Amino acid sequence: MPPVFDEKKCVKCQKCVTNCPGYVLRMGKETPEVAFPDECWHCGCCRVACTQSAISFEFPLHTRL
Amino acid sequence: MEFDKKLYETDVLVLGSGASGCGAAIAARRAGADVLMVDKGRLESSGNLGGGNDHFMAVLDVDEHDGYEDLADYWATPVTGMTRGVVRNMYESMKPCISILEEAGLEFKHNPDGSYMRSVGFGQPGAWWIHIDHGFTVKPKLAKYIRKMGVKVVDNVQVLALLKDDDRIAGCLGWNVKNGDFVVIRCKTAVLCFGLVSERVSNNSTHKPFNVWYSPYVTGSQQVLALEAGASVNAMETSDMCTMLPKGWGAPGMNGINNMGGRELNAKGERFMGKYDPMWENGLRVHQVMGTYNEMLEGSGPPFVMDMTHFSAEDARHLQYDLMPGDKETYLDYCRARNIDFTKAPLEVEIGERLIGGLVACSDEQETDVRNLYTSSLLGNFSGAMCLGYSAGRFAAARAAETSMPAIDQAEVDSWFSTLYDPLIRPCARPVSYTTFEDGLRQVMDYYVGFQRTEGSMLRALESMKVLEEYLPRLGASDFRELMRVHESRELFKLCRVYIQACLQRKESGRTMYRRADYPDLDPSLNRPLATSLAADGAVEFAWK
Repeated sequence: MPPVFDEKKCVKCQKCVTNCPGYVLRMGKETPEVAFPDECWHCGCCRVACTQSAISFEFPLHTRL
Repeated sequence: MEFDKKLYETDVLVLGSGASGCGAAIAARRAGADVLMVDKGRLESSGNLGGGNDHFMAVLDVDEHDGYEDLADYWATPVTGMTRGVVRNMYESMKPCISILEEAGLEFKHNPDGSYMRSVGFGQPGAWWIHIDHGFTVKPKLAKYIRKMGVKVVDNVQVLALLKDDDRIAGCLGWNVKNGDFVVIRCKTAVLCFGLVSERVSNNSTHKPFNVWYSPYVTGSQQVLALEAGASVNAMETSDMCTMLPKGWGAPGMNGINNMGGRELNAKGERFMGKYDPMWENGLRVHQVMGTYNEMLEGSGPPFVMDMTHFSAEDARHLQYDLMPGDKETYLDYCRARNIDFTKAPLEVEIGERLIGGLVACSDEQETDVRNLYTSSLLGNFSGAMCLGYSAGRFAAARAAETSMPAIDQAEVDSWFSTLYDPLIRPCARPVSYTTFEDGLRQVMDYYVGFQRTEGSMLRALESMKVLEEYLPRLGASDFRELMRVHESRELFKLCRVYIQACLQRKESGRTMYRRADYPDLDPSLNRPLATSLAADGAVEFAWK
């Protein structure tokens, strides 16, 4: 579950979705969502593109083992 | 389902918008050419550089071992086929590319006297690696610069074939992975910039093929499309890359750790790299990986760690908080998840997945065996990629200025249009997903074509590849994104099959990220490139140069 979106900060501009190089994100009802978590490269391009500091990262289990 | 057709024309077509493509597009545009760059991703985040980078390699003629001859002695190795002429192109592009990056807003680290802060890396004789500040911003800054200078950028288009007019390049075709449009691009000249190596062909300890060191979205277009267009590719059997990864995470950064003095320790707490390279951890990466692998075989690990606790507080801070997030923006999130602090405890590392690829063969002017088709992506680092892209862009623009627009083979275009959507609109009765197919591919590559292999194991791998080939027509997709992955899977399959055959030709050990157990010693007579090409019937052909 790599990027986590703060719906209070997100302005739904979708820049994160557009800039994801792996087509991993899509727009959900309130915020973007990680549609394909296993295909995330953890590159942070979504966060670099976000103008609202609305994205944090939660590293998946396998990266902690 | 109906698909629109889009046709573009340009003087110089740049195939791929990573670091190489950026260099090529900028140089060709500066030379006055009409330039179009195309990529499956978006310029702001595509390629390996999309993940950021913390160092830029450059000789600056100001220190000892800091000039062209030193650069050529290191990079113009017989095995890769990289000539001193091509290295000269890179050398002559270094200062212009640094200026471009600074104009684009990138900040390099400086010493108190104003000189660039640089480190020695990869067993090189001089301190060539300039430290970058905020390396994760490189790509957006370059993208802004490139769009502003008038390069036409066609994002989100997956290129599936190069088009030719007789013996010369005529363009490419592909499709838009977001809206399905069929895309044909006609050009006078083109530059291949799709990337030196590809991921998703082997596993690291996590068995998550997208959790890897280099971009997992680079899948062999550079080599496969070049071969299918009639170009030859050098060093497919020696271009394997691999690195030490932070445990469980596909991240770069080892150059910064090694060049600042990180010490690798085995499970016994012993520093061992002196056995494998006179420059210890800061020597050749193949020695670090294969040395660690050897320690593992001898029972001295895992775990392995990189110890930076002896660093000064400022060096540790600079490494962990400036350089590492520059190489991958999420590095500090990983550190928080695992309570990593370079000043307090060593960083656990693992031997990562293996990457494969090859150098498209070219003249000193970087023209391939296909007339008017130039190549970059001859080195896998940011600087090498961008600088050789820059020189290739210059050559391609000069040729375009004296070249007429070629004709497109409409029959080939129509054939692609009628078949490329098949996995989506005409799936077979029992379709197979790209994930299932690629899991099978990695199963073969890891088991039979791993760090240790023999002729017998590789021949057995080719038998398994025949089974995988039976599944190619069954690959199915339920949307555009899956169709993109299906085309990537097909490309990865082709890349691996040619690679295995190339590896069978090199009957020695010691030059690569793997060992031939049946040929354990170095063969001095094989210190030369092996060129791979495809015959008219698709058979793979080899020639020692």
